[in-house]
Amino acid sequence: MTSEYSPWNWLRSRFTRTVGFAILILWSIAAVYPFIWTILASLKTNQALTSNIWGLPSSPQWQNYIYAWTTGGSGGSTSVGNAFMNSVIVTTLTIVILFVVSPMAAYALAQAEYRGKSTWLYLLIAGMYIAPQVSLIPLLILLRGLSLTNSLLGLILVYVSSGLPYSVFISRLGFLSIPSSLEDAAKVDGLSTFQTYWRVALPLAMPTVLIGMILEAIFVWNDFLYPLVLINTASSNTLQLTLYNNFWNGFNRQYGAMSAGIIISTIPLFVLYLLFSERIKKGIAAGIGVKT
Amino acid sequence: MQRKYIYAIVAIVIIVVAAVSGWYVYENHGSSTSKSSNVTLTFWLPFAGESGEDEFWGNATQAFYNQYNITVQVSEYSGDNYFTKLATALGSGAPPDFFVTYGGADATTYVVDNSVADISNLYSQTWAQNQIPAAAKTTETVNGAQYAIPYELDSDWLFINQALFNKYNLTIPDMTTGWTWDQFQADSNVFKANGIVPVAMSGANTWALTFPEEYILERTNGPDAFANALARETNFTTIYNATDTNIAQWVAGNDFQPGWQSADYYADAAPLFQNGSAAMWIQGTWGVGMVTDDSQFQLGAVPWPYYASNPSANGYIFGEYTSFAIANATKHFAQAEQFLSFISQPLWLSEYVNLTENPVAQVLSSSYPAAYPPTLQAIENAISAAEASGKPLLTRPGTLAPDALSYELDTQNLLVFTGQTTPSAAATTIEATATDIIGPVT
Amino acid sequence: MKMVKAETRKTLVLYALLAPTLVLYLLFFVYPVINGLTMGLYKYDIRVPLNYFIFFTPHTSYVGLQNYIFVALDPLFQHALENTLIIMAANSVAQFLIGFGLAWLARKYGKVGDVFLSVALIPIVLSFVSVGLMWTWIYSPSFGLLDSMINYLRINGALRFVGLPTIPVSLTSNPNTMLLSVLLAANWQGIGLYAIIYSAGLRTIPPSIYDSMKIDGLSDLKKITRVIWPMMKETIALALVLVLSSSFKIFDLVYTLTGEGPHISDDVISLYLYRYLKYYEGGQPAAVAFFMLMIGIVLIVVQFRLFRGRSEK
Repeated sequence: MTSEYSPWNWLRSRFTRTVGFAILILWSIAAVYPFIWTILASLKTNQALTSNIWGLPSSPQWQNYIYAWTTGGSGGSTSVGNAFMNSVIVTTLTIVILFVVSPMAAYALAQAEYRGKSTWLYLLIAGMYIAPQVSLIPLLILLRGLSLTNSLLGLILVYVSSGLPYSVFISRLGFLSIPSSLEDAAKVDGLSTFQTYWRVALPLAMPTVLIGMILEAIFVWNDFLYPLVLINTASSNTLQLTLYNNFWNGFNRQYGAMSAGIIISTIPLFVLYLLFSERIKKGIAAGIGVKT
Repeated sequence: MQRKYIYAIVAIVIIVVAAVSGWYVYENHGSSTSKSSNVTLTFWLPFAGESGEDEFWGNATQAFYNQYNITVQVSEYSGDNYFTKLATALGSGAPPDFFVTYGGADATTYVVDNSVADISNLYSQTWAQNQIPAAAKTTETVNGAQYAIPYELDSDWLFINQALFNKYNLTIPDMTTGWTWDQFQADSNVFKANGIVPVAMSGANTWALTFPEEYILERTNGPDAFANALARETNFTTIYNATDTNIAQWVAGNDFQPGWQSADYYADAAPLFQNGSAAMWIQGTWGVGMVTDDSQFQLGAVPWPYYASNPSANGYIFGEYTSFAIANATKHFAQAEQFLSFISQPLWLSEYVNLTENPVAQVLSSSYPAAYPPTLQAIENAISAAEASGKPLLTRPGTLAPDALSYELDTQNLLVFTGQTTPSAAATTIEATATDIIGPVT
Repeated sequence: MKMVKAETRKTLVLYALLAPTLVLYLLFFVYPVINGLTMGLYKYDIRVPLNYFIFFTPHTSYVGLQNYIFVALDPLFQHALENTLIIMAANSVAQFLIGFGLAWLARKYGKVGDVFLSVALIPIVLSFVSVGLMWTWIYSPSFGLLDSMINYLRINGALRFVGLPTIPVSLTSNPNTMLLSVLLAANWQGIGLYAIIYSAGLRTIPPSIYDSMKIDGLSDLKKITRVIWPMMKETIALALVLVLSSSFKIFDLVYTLTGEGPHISDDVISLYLYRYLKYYEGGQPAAVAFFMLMIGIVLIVVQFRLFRGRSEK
């Protein structure tokens, strides 16, 4: 058996370390480059894009951002600025409601067997595999019956209900990883079921719950189909749809403004990501779980 | 930890400020139509992004409001989004007050579904009798009543770069006499030899591929072939076999740009055409706006070539009347009719032409001249000449056929163009579907 | 007696916790879905207004199982199903090998590795439409980034020299490489998330294990496969569930990259369904959705088997 410190081993480990490092760097560049390229694209005119694909823009068109933000608002489209606000409202309210409602359900479904638990659990998780298109028309009819068409509230309710399978599933993982000894201790201390949930379980599962919320937020912010079908007034349109309508049609594709719009629409999620990336990692670790 | 909270608060404040400013800017930039009128009509259009549309509808609805105190809210959507949205709105029983139909079988479907309102009384008014041509009226008529007003007249052509044709000393075909397939191929070969793409294709998608297909179908089999097969007097197998064989042959000749299948609709094909890399472009009149804007570019339009063996099929033009229909579910029928006659006034027709550079379906008045770019003017003349000589505008097969059959036609067409199926297999499938949906040949 | 009462009371409380979720879910999700699925028994135009509220009967004829049979026998559906399964399998493998590989590598570099993982996670905040648009641009045959790079670096020349097949001009229009182009874009976006998941999983392994591996002198690969992976079963299971459920419904990316027209080599189920809706067909999409649900149920059962050891307390 060769010694750990022989020259051959040293060379080999150096080699693997360098290669490993190189791979990480390459991947990081690959992950980030399309972003940078989009930022560069947002600063070029259409012609510059086709002639100078790679390089820096010769004259940065910062006005693309202002143009993207303010154009629209007459003849049936709305400005990205206005759609931005709509998206903020819809995403925030959806997440707030989900944040209140899904951990409760997740806790209830993480408990030991009781009547009906499995049924509801399977029913809820099955929702993760439904394609949204098929329920569109009955959903529209239902909303019409409730006078909720063309309103952001209707949109929010739809997002909440369709986001429940996913967020309950993820939150439930967080609750499952709590050692049962803690819950027994709570019972001994005389806490009611709800108090156990509120004071003991929820704080422990919080990191995992938060990940679910963040992933849902990303989904709702980026969604396209529900606003298209459920919202008729342009002024209530959300961001992705407006980007598409305003700048990406068959004829005068304004790549510059579109790219600016993509960057604008990505910034809030980016901020969210920067703030919570530590939490995300902790949450996943918690979800995977401390061994009982 | 403290710092994280500060960052979080700062970030949230920035986002809130951005959101509020966005709303503020919107409010001040937004449409100036007052929201205080009692009646609001909604109008959905599929022309998002077409130049001049926003301006035209902004002006027209503002003027209408000033005169009648009725708000018409126009919403533009693009392509597929429009049809998804319209279909779901109709299905849920809450459609917009106005929407776009294309006459012919399209109109028939809506009538059968009871989705559109009978507006025959508009047609009996004087202005309609003067401005709406007989051919257009026929297209809009279902069971003796009319259900939409034709507004825009779109037709499909082979647009060419005249400069390139001249550069290689190629004759530019006359718009009424046309040219043969052999001449077309000969010219294509000249272009290929000189490194120019003969025909720019707008991608492998069902919509863009219907244009070449409809013409090849008609030039191969004659103008009545499809209608006869649809009426089940003949079968589809023969006509599609012949058509698809010709298509496959053309595709095999490598006349399109490399990687054409993933071209992103017009956005990829148009620049090729505009910068001279491609000599010809199959397109409808609505799509050349961006090219006509460039005064350096010598745009021309030529008819689709005909086969020397079938010269009587020559001279027909495919097109459609983009029309506006009133939804049956509307609550303001009289006001809706008022708007349709309002925008059909000569002033607004010419405004439409001037702003969007699309040909209109109604007759323009000399007191309100409209400036067509030379190519579009030539097209207008060609259509009138064709109709005068007894060759009316043809409706696309996809519009004539019921939707389920349309789906099959488009699917098989795409498969043939992309080489994923053989002409005979495609023809057989189409006949099978037709038998299934409409019935067997009688 | 007291115990029984407590038991019932606990169940009641749990149901109270469950109630808001169930009400919302049943009303706004389950009910429309069931309505939508019953459409599969009819053949009708979706533009015809449906006026019934509960398990409606549309205006045209009841055709029983005809739609289901048609869809099942349609070669395009079979291709779409095949492609969807391929995508699910390929994504699972890719996220596992590459995601785990990145996490493993990153672990060696401590803090710097953490930074790398954070960077790799960035693409996930993009919408599918944005990713599709970016990559359409990259893949574009006439103006794209990929082509410029291949030409600039003379990659095809090198490949030809070595005797390997060259990279075709446009990945998204060549039927051989279409699916690959979608997989590339999808994984570029998704792997960051899985790398983070695996990285977190690696952290749950006690350091003593790592130390003892060094002493044993096992090669890296053996270390990983024999020791680490078995200890990370739950992490792997979680990643698997996430990748399967998202790959199954993949739509926006395929639509933006290769368009909607049927391409035998990269059609997916959601796209197949979407095309029918575009032609206003009501019955067939519902039949397709029904099949999707059946497959989904199989996946759920598998999912629960994987988590079985943890679900009861």
